[in-house]
Amino acid sequence: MKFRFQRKYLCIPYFLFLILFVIIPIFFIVYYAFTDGNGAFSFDSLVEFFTTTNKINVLVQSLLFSTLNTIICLVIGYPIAYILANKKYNSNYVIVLLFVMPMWINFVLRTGATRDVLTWLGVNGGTSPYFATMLGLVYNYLPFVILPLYTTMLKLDKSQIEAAIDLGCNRVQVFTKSIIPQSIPGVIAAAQMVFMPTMSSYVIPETLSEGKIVLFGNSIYLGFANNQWNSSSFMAVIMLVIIGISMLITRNFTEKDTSEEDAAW
Amino acid sequence: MENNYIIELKNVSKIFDDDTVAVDNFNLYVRKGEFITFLGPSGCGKSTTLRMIAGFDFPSKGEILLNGKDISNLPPNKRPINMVFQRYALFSHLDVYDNIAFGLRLKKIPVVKKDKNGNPILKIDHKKIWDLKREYNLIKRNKHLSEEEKEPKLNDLQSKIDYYKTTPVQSYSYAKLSSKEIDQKVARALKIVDLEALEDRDISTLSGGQQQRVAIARAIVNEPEILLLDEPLGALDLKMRKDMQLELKEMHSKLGITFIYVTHDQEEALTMSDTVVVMKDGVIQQIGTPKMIYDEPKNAFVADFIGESNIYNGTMIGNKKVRFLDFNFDCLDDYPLNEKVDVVVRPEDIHFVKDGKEMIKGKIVNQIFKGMNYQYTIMIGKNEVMVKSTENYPVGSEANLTIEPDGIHIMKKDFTTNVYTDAWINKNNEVMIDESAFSCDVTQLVPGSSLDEEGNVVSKDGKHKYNFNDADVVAEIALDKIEVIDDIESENCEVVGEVVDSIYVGDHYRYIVRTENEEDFVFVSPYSYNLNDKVGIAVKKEDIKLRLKKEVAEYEI
Repeated sequence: MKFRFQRKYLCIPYFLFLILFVIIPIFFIVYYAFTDGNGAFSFDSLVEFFTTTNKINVLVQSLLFSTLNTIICLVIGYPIAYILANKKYNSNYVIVLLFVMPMWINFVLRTGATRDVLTWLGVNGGTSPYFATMLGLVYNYLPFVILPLYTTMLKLDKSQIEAAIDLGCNRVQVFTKSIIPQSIPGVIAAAQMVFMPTMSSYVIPETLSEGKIVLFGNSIYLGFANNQWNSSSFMAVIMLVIIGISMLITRNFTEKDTSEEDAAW
Repeated sequence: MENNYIIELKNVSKIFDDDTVAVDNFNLYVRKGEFITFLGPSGCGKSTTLRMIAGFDFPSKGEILLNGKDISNLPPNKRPINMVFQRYALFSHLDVYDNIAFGLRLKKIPVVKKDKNGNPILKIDHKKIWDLKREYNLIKRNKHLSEEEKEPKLNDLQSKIDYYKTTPVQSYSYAKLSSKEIDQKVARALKIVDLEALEDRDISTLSGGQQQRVAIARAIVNEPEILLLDEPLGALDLKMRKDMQLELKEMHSKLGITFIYVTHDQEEALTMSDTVVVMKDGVIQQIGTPKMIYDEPKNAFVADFIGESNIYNGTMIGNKKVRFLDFNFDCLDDYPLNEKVDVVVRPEDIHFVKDGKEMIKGKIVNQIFKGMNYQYTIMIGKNEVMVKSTENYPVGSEANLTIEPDGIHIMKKDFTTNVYTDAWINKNNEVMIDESAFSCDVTQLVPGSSLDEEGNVVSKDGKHKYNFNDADVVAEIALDKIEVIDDIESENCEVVGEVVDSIYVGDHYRYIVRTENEEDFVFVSPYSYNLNDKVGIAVKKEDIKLRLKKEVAEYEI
């Protein structure tokens, strides 16, 4: 039989990639998470994780860092994005580029440089590990917040803002009642870009706190480095579960948003 | 001063930052309860005017009075005026009920603060001072007002600020509407726009027409004194638009509030309004009732824009007699003998008659079925005539037509010649119009004179010599004496400009060409040019008529 090319064959490479680098690794993670050293099915890792205070502490600390980082990035990034998207203050793309440019530099190098600058300023991992790590996290993830917020701000419906003023809003009310609700999709996207990567970040706390602060990512890495494949895999599963939960939460918002856009067309 | 004008615009102009004049010296008053429409092509300044009334733009010059009080520099949220936006601008994150209740929830009802004995508490009103200072700065920064114009206003504001700074006034606390009151008002608004069952629906699930109704409900629920509507029906399909027109009209009479409506659709304007304001290039062309505007258009632009019309060049040939289409018609308007005029005839005012009874004869070249009637294009000589009739005549047949005197509308011509009052003569004896030199015949300034070798004008008897270098003159060029050159690179062009206006006048077009320096050249041509076409202009030496501004003797040497 003669081979006939069909369009659906184009997705074969993608599927191969997906199976090789996503499905199979996840299968391995789950496999290791629920087996013991001899390959027999067991809940040892689960029990170990939830009974070791140290590991629970790392999880809680990571969640705290992630939440705080997300909030700080949003608080700083939101006004910046708003100003950048406003033609009155920024008539060209150059300033946006300045804010986004750090994203293009390898973040290991960037973090190394940050550490040197901080040391030079007298703030280093030795003296204030929490502050140094937080600063590094915010600095690294700020562009990821600004970019989605900026695109959302560009699409703000000017006439809705005018309608709000027309109906009696003063400047503050315009902001809280029209601009913020309109930019919620951007806020969600930005939060997603920051929250989970911070949880699993490894280089930043490692470098900036000089190993004093251990986040979930560091902890997983250390486990694998010490050949604790089963317990580390279980921590990776925890990570997957948290990603799943956060996606479920944010989906409610984004779904509503896309349906609105569809209806508008 | 007691009058029932709800809003007055006095000499209002709007000049944007890039120096474009959007609205030029706009004067209008609106009576309470009136339905007034701003009508004009896009870019005519109608929306800008509306936005100034709403408060989104502040006038560069002039005043806007609401019930006699100047509100020119008040922000939109402090005006008792609400607007229905072009694309509705509904809040997509709120449902129907919350959209409509939006304004009500923001509303604050002032309550006089009283002490224990029931006497009002007096306080320095810092908010009022702040508002006045804001207005003060706004006027101070306005670069379109001269210092002399600013001074009285600023002094007035400063004295007010000083007064409020030293004099305590009654203070108020503010109460919000209760949710029960809001409920009632929203329900009433929903009833007015016929959307009673939809209050819980999401905006995105509504059809265009329903969104339109929500937008109207959201505005009227605040009981504004004036409702502004910025092309609100533009996004609806034809049938829906017709229905909404009638409904809006009905709402207007039910609510009794003043409607100011903006549209470019002349039919919409005529159907709905009590008064129509026709605008072009930021200038009011005509204000009147729809019937007045249709029957008695003030100029060719209005006639052309409102309804379909035939426009011709005519000449007055006697008392209430006008000649056009090579026939002498009786008419009702009286203009001086031999005056060149624009004649406007509506297609439905031209009638087919039996052979022998006609005034004019033509040949039918085109017929279009329009549902209600047929629209014919008839050639009379080289003029096109548009006629509407319910009877069916074959294309190619002869048409016998009459026009009754009341169907002929005569308007003073906008332009019969181009007049340039600030022209001058350069040392080469060329006339400078708009910084371009046109060769001209300077000897016409001294009858019978001639030019000598040095470029001086020598009188007929040789006794007087004149040098007209730098002389200020008025130059006149007849419309039909301007030559148009399509190739703007050609060296024959004396000046190059852009076609900014064109009106079809029977057998030819009348164009306005505007140069870079904003000088206009009006010319007539049988050929068709598009708006924004670049064309070159040349004028024959003998076709430029010159008139000195000063006495001839001043230039004698």
